Amino acid sequence: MRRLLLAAVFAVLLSSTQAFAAAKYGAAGCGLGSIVFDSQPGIVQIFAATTNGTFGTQTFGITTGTSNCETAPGAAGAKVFIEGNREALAKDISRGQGETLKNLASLAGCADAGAVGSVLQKNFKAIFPAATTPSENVADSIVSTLKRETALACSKLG
Amino acid sequence: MARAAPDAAYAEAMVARAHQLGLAQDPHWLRLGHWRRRPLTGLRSEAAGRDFFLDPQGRTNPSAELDATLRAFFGATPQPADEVARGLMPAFCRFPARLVVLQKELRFDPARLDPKPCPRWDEFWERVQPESVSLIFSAYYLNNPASMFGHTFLRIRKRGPAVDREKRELLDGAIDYSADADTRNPVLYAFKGLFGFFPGTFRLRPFFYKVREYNDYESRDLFEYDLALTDAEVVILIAHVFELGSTYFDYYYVDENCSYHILAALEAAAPRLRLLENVGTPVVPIDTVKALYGNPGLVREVRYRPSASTQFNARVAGMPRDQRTLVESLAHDPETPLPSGLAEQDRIRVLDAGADLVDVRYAKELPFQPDGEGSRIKQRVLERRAALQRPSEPLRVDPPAHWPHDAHGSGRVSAGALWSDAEGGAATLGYRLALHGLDDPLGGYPDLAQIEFFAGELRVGRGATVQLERLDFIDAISLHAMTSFDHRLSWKVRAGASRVRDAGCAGCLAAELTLGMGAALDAGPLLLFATGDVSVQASGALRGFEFARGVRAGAGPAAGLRLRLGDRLTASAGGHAYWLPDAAGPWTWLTEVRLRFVVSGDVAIGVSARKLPEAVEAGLETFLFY
Repeated sequence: MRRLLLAAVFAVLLSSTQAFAAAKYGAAGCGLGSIVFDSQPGIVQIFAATTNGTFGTQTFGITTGTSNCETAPGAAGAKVFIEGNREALAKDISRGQGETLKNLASLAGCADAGAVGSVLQKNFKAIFPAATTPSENVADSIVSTLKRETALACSKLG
Repeated sequence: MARAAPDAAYAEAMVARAHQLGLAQDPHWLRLGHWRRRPLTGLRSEAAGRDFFLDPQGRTNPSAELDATLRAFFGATPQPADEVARGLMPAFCRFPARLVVLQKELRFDPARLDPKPCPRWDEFWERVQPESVSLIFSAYYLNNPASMFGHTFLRIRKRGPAVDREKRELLDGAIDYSADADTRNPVLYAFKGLFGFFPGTFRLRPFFYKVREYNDYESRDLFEYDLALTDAEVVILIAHVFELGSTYFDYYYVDENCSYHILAALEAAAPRLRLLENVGTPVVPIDTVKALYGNPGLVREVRYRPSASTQFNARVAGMPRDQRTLVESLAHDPETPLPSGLAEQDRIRVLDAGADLVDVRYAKELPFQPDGEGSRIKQRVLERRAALQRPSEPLRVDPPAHWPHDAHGSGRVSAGALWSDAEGGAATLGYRLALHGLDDPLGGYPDLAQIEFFAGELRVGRGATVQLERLDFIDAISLHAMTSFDHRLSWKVRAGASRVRDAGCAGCLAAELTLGMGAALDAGPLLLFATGDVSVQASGALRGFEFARGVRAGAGPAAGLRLRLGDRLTASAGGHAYWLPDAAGPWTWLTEVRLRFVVSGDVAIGVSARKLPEAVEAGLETFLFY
């Protein structure tokens, strides 16, 4: 009975409130769009899926093998991190400091997050030449910048 | 095969020992298998995937499942051919938590086990590297019905060098329980979600995805409750989550939801914890946070991770007016020139705040539309900021004055007395299933929102006549205070039934749906809001349209104010006036004033008065939150 009541409530809610932006479903990969919306119960997912039409394509099984979107130390993990945090990381790089930079520095085994921040800030235009630059390219530029600057001593990038 | 005989004998010895100890009725075993006794189903596991059970009757028979588990662990029964064919892990790998717990209880010789290589477990363990566990509460998100009540999940802190935790926090793991929705029809979605037709599964993913999703994309604050679990409990929790990876549950939004199963997993790992018994129905996420505190010492630290909009507000707090204007104009036109007299530190502050504002305003667009307007503006603001070549000062955000665990209980009952000029005196009884009203005590809930589900009032009049005065399925108000940066509209929705007391009828109960859009102003203790409403009412006794008697539609303004006088006293007033085309009496209206006083934590008293076209009422009520 209780569930019946609430079913009615939700039906009312879902059909009456809010226009939700029908965001474009992200391309496959480790970006926010491909990961976040595959587990989100709710209307965001419903709308996100209208341009995609399928669910669960990027599902992370716990026991059914691994996902590729993991952040083990190393260049591959660093790239996953960069793709998944792109929006926040771009902002932190422009500021030369911030949480995503500190975590990236840990992941890449760099000695000093502050120095990483200032090197990447200096290279902002090369790393983010345009908003439309694909995240893979952004990740490649960041990793190669960190490797190139030997003074940063980023030991885990291989 | 040479080993099979002695191991089978050892397995039987352990089965006998388990029976002797009554292990199958032990709370820890029952929690590991998620067996629970329910009125309709009897004793049954909530886990619905058959691969979670080794015995064909395992779902309803914890004892048979225990025996089958022991026999499988010692190699006395080989893995069934169909499981092998489906690539299922052998029991030894599939149930690491059972293995640990049974060893602890039975003290069997691990050398007698039938070990198997478990590459998936090894990989999982390597990924998690658990050191400690936090429960995270994600604040309310009114724009999504599934998130209205908040959300909880677990963060698994990775082992690592004892460095500043901020340097590695994003790399931790997050364990989340959620429904796998397979429909985009809202009605079907609501139906399936409420009646358990979606499978719910546990997932592990890097914590940063959660931060980006909740903090940035949905602008929800995160509250972290670090749990004082022993090392063994942490290991069993991780092992148990791995076990749950092979199964699913039927997802019920109301009770067996994310917060329920997160607590159930914690209880399975640490049988000393008493969590679910402290949570009623519905299972409201905030109540599960409060349930942690029913176990003294369990929460060892609380921390706060501010949302994108909280961060933005902290950046512009105290900023001079001319700089705020620059921030706003940067978010429209990223080429806005900064005055040459502006000091470099101030340039940095203005550009940083501008970038945050773009992030908040275009949060829904940025991850998906790199060629959109928001991405273009943000790119240019960041380029200008990077060109200054100086690091920003780290942003400091004050922790909130009120935490989720301080919030009033999500359920509410009330009792009171009422006088009405039409009907005389009456006693009133009120009930609200959940969650929070604008007049309710401050703290732990969004201050500018009301989320009332299934709230009603009975009136007991002379001669013990009982009458339903009001029953709302939902009465939600989402106010966005207008600021120079935030121009979002406020909205409200109410669906239910209430007594009509105007020219339409004298006291008939009419079903009602009201929607409104408008604006709000938040001036410290004073909150003002106004909306334009449309409303439809229906009742057999209602004098409505010519063409559809019993139905009427109204439209008109509504307004309200609320004044918080300290933490305990709240005064409010409100009203509406609706024009009713083609109905008896072209107008209906309501004005009311209310005063509420918090006596102590979960008890409040209130007085109110209201006037409708054909009634004047005044009442006194006592509220109890639980």
